Amino acid sequence: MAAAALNLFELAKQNEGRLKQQFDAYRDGLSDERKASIDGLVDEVRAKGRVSTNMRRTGLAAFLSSGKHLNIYEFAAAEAGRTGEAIDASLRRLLGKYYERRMAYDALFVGGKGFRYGALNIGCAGTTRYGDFCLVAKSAYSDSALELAYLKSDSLNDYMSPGPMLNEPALRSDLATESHRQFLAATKEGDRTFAVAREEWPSILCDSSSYIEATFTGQFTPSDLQEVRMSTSDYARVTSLVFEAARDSLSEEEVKVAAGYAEVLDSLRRSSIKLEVLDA
Amino acid sequence: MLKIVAIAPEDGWAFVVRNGETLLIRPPYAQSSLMATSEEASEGAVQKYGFEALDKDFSDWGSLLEYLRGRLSERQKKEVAPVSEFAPEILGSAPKELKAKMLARIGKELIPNREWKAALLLLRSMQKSRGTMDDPELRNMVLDMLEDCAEGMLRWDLGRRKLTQEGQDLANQFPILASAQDPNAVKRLAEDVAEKHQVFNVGVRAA
Repeated sequence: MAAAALNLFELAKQNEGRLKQQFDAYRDGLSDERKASIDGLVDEVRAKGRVSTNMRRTGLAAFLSSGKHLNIYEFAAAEAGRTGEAIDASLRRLLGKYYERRMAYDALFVGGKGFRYGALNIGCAGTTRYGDFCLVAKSAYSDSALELAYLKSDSLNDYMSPGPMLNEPALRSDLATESHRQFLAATKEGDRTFAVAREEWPSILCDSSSYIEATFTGQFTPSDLQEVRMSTSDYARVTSLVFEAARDSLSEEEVKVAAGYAEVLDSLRRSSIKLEVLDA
Repeated sequence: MLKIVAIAPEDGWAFVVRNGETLLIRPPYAQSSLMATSEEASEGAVQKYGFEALDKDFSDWGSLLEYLRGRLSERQKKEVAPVSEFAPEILGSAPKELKAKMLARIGKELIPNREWKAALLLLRSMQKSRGTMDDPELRNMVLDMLEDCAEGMLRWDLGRRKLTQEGQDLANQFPILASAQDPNAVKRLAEDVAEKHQVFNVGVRAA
């Protein structure tokens, strides 16, 4: 495997000027009405743009109790400790047919195995198909992060071709730093935001099928959280667990899942972490 | 044929392919919990969100759910907490609209079906949950339904003589209703129901 040669965060820095030019050109081509709208989107992202990552119940419980976020390598190491298998075997089991692509992508970058992934979020419940709890970092976390970059879309699906090979030119032109994330968001989703109400901008920018990927390194702990969000529909699913449990119509395993949700909610409350349930 | 392509065993979540369509299934395992999604989503789940890649076929939903429950149980605690212990925490963090929906379901599904145990368990949990009884609208809904339950139980499940007997501690049997209103309200309700709505004599052998 080739030695790591690329610094993702440096590449993002190098792309700042080009990204701003791209945004200016895009904006210049808009009508006055749309210029006002795109300026509103830029302001919104600048003010409310946060790094978020979605977790499921057990992941959030572990995060709150251990105080540590685990990326795939750290999770595989923990799994290996639990099962007794080798870390690489654990990674292969977890990643299956995606193992090669994951390894190839991370190996291209300096510190790639330390990457944590999230999304740019301006007020929704994030990528809920992967996890019903959306952990939103404080603005101070991204402001002070030494290594944080945003990519226009999913790194593995959209920038790795069979081989696996990196589409490096595309990657280089689609990266943004924290200070320029609003220009990336506006050029990516501007056209779609014109057609919808402002309240829908957050879910246009970030949902399970389309998002701006955030890559960051360093620790991510419960004290870095601004809040945790859940969609109303996901919370309704949890309350339906309670309803069915009261009716004795669930299996024992499902009742334990319901009890697990209560434990996580209790932990959030005891940790003074705000839970916000959103229509998103 | 059904195929699990990605699984989070400790949470009971799985991406399932059915006739080329990718679905996400999560507890509670019911048709209404199935969510249509995409192959890309199942790939992303494995690549970045801790799902385990899997390639396992099932002939029907029953065997698939049995497998999911089996995987769930591998890492669960042995004991099951009573619903009354954990329900208030979940209901306490629920937004008002979901609390109101839950109450509406109790009123539409449980009380008419005389599922008193479930209805009372949920109403008591609702009463214990943070914020519910501080909201006048929700408080009234809870109290009205407790009355409905008390009335229904009296009509269908409890004997008139036993309940209207002097000295019977009805306030103790219906503490929520008794504490929310005046302690004699339950007794008056019992007497009223017994007087007006008696359908047959409980405990009296038919001629």
